[in-house]
Amino acid sequence: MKFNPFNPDEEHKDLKKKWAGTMVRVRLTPDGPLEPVMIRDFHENNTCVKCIHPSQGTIILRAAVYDWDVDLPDRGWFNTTGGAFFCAHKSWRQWQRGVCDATITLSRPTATWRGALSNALLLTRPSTSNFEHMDDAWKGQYPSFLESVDRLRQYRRCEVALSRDVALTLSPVSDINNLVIWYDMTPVGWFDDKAKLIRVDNMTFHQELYDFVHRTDAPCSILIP
Amino acid sequence: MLNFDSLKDDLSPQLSRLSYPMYTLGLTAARTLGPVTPTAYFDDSQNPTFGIEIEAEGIDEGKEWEGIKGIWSQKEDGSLRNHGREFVTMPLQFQHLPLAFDILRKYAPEAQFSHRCSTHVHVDVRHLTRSQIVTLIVLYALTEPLLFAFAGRARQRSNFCVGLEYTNDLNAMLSTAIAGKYAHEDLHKYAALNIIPTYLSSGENPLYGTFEFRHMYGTLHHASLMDWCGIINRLRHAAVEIDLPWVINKTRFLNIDSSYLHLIEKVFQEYTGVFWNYVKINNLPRLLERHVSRVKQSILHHDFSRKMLESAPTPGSQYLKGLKRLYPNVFKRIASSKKGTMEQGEQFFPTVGMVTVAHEQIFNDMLQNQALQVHSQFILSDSTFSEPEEFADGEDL
Repeated sequence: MKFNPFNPDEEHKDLKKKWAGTMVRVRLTPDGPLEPVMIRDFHENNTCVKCIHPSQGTIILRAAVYDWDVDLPDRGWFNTTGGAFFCAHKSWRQWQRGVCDATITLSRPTATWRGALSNALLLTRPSTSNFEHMDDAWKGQYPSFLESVDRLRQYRRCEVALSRDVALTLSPVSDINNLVIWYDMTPVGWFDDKAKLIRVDNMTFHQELYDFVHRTDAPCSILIP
Repeated sequence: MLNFDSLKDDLSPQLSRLSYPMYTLGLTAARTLGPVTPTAYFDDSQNPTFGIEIEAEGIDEGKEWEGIKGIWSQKEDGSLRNHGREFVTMPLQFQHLPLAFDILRKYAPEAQFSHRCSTHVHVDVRHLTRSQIVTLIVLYALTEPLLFAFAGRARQRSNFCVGLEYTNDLNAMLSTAIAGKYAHEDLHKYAALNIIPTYLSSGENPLYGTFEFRHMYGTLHHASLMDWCGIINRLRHAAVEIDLPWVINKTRFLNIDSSYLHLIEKVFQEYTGVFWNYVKINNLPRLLERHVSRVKQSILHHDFSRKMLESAPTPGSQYLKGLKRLYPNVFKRIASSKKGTMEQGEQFFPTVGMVTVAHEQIFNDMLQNQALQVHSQFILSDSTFSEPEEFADGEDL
């Protein structure tokens, strides 16, 4: 979706109200990739936009030249450097146009398990969700199944997104060493990495797990009670 | 002022199909009635009323509005540009919609439709029970990708028409529908299926008792509008025709048996073919699979099922009534067994939890009946058994 910030019907204040504090993606060069920037302010004559770029810091964009993309990332799991998050849209989008708290929900089921997991984790992890790593949500990069298990077993992560729908997390229960496998935001079973076996706990989603294993060639079997 | 006499010849083929003298009503409404309460005329649970909102730009300034008054009302809309107006019908039944669209098309031929314009269709759900409303929401959630395929990708990514595919709104919608009242702040009017007009009134928007489908782009193209309204009409009728337990069971196994086409044909019937202009049948599993999983998560794992079982009157009570009518003896047995455990003064009330018990007993009865039938057939065949001719002479074997 594209927008024209030079629409004469939209005032400077209106633009700032709709866009300031939100994240959009901008093509910095005509043939370059879309890069996420946080919009800070509009110049009074609406010719320039002050933005914050993750690596370049504060930059001034000529709004008319560049290609703006305000598409939200798809709903589902995505990996960041700090962990895995689940992204969902809110249908409240009257004023805020880009990605921000009003338009996107980021959730992390293991956040409530942090006390239980803290004994196992060697490194401290960011506990609050933020929009610093939203670029990863658009990229949608997922490690292989075995690589994900390794990351969890070495306590480099609390959770890893395996696909848009499936995630693998550490167990909150100290006496169960298996990993928890999630479909969407629902825990659906356990992964026993010694036996290479997924034990389905929620029969509603066993077909989804079959499909996931088949499509990703995950080296494991599925056991239905 | 629109000249209705000029419409008479153009619209005569459509008028011949109308069951209600809409043309006469249009004339009288336009000339005399003004704002009326037409639900008194059209109150029919089998034939729900529709309310259509069409946003258009480029409307001539200073145009007289008397010509469409009574059928269409018009107002300014702040989200539109270039002299945009929003046209809203009075409540109309499905068979009257073609005439209403033709009137507006003839009245505003200069109408332009940009990406800011859309068409919203309200459908009356006041006659539906709570279980039927839940069924409607679940059927919609299962088939939402098809509706967006019809409306186009631009609408799918619109800020003002957010689909269930991207949000967590389905849980909130189901909770509200089960409770029968607005109890969830997550609901918002910019959802693609906006159920707020049934549950919450605000200053500008009273309780309409409708569900609003916001998917459709702005247009006055006759076939597109009628196809869209027909699809919504079928969805609403399917919620009445199909039992909620069947829908839940179908959802549970839909990704396993991949019977997506069966579901779509059962819901949309004669309108199923409309979707094949936009979707390839081979792509149905890819299109619907994730949606079905989402719906499963909401209706099977969420506390939806528990609430459904506890709520009274239960959504499955219609199903129970049907069972009770078909198998009265089974329910007499259940009631008599239940009465043994009831306290004095407590009344027997069938609950959805009894469906399982009833199913078991009905199934056992059927087995017994089948056994009896088989036995009677055997006896019948035994009594009428005649020896083959070769043995008739009593030859010893």
